[in-house]
Amino acid sequence: MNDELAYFNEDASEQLQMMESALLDAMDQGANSEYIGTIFRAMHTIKGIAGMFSFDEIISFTHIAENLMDAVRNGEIELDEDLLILLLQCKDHVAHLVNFAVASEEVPSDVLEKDAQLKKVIGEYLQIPQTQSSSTSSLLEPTQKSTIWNIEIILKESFFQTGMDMLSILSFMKKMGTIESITPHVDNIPALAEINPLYAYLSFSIVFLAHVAQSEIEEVFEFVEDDVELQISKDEEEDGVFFVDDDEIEGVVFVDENPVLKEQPSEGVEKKGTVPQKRSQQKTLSQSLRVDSSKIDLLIDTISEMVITNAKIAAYVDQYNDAELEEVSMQFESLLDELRNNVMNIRMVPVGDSFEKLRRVVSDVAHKLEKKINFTIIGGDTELDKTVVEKIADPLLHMLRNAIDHGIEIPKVRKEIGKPEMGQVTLKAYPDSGSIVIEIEDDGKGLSKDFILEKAISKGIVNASAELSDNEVFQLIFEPGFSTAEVISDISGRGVGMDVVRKNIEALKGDVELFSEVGVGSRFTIRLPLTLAIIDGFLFQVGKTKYIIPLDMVSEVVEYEIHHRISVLDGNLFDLRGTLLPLLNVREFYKESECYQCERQNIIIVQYGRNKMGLLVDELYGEYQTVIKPLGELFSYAPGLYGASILGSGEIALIFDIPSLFEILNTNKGE
Amino acid sequence: MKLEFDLLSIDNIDALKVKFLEYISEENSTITLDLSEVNKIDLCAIQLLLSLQKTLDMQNRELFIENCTQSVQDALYLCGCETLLGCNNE
Repeated sequence: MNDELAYFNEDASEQLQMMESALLDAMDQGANSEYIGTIFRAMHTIKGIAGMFSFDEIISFTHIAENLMDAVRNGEIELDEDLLILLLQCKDHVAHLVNFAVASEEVPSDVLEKDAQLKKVIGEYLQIPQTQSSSTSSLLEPTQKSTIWNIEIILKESFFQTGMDMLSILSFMKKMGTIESITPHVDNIPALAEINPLYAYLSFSIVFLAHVAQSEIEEVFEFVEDDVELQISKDEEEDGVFFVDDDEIEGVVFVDENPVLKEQPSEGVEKKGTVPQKRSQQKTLSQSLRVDSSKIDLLIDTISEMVITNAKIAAYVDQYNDAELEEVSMQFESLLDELRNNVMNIRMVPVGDSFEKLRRVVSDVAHKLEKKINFTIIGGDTELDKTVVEKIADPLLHMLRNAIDHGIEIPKVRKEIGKPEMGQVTLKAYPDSGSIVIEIEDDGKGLSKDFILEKAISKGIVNASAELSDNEVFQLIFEPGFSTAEVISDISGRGVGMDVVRKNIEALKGDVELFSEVGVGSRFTIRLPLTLAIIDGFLFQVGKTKYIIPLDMVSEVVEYEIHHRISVLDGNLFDLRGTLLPLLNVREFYKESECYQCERQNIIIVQYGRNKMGLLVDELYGEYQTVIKPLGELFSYAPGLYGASILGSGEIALIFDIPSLFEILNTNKGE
Repeated sequence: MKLEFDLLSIDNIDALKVKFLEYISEENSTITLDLSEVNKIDLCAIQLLLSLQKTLDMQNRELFIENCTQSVQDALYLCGCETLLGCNNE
């Protein structure tokens, strides 16, 4: 897909998503002018951008849908539930058309059939109030009330490199109105020997007859606005043709031969009516900028290298005790810190948009299963790395389907057992010690531990004699081949579900847990890392090796003293103010032969989710800006390691993977 | 000369320029381009045709374009170049 198509795709998808949200909101809370406006704009905008690419099917369909919405906007048609459902179908249909257009595929016959069918239904709606609808359908057939526009288009040198073809733009203009004349200006074109054929040297004068406002013509050039100079003016010699915009002027008609008098009122009204609105819309548009995410990755890479370079300077400062340089280096470090945070922030997007998409699924599945669901989203403004947000959508979708299909009971049953008929499903996101937590909670029938255990044993997932904690039993549902569905439905899977869910989440360096209570409901808790490339770390040393832990996971550090020591079997516990916590002796664990500054040892207490553990280490160095570099294949089996970082001295520090250390500790305990 | 391209566009514009330069290096007083193979043309290529025409004009030579496909004719018409470049269809 080329860049422009990708933009088109992104833009159209965004508009469709906004349309869907508005439709669902209108279903929940009743229609209002804001929702209607959003739906109208979605169809209008998609029509406009499809025009740039001459996607005729999309143009023709969105045009009709736009007319329908225009009639709704004018209060001629009521936006009732039937119409909302029809519009949802229209939205889906346009999404299909967009997909085919983007893939440059022919639209298959069944989709064309759907196209015709939807158009017919919309046509029926539009026929009822015939009064004004003719005024709304000016796109394809210009009426005699058109304005004559003089348009000068000067292509900037860069124009061809936008990938947009001027011919597509012209052919779209032909659909908006009539190109009375077009004159190319070729004087600036150099001779063959001098021409850079990739540069544009052309300009055009166009006389354009159409029943449109200036802003609508400007919109046609929206995609190339930086690469053309555009001058649009109304024809002063507009003899016999007068402009009445029935959207903006009520009961005012001018018939006057004096062009000055004629111009002023109509233009004045038009400018007041539409232009300022559009302007403010453009303003918000220009505030956001689409950037290829790989460019940001590149930026992060460069910052990473700068962090390492600065660490080298810091090491030099240490060595030569240069106070002035130290100050510069520290200043530089804090600037780098700021820069890093700002760049990271570019990648961060609120999870809300992605969550909103799931509302449709919930609504569809609930309808299909005849269940009543109140779906609540909490913490939609929590921010997460864009790639993580994209990749988490599928697992969430699956878990939500499961919650509705297997969790929530049908209304009749719920009434019988004294629950409200309306089932509650909550999707919640919040930050928690260096991670982002996403929870899916339902108040359905819950899962019985015995049932899970029995099933797991029958499927050979666990040994019948195994002694498992409650928590461990719940986690069995994430094992491959485990499915709790008594009847396989087309809503949630065939036992291929939860293990794939877990795998996808683990691929993002996250994890997932289930907690459930019979009759009360279930809760899935997903924990995801906040960022992927540079972290604030905590640097320490054990034996000859330096290690780093993500600083957010360090809850406290204490000196290891005699009273901490607890003698149990293999001594892997310690006493922290009366609480027993597991203790990992890092030196033993990685078989370091000697200790470093053995007279004093320290315990770093790390926290992950509800779990805490201590790491027994030698020397502490404190906070350290850490660039995460992946470890080579050779280390892929090294337990508990996430990656490595290059220190200023050129040494390597290993970065601990705390979640997997907890896992190792749990397994060891089991043995 | 028959232009043996299905598509004349920014994608092969450099190759096209090389070809045109070859044509004008020959000493004929007229150059005739046969576009019967060309099924699509964009403005970038049209601009190059205009440049070719201008170059020949300066040398008091002439450019003839013939056998345009419908799609090329439509494109020339759309950008108002149909009279400038004039296509002779037999």
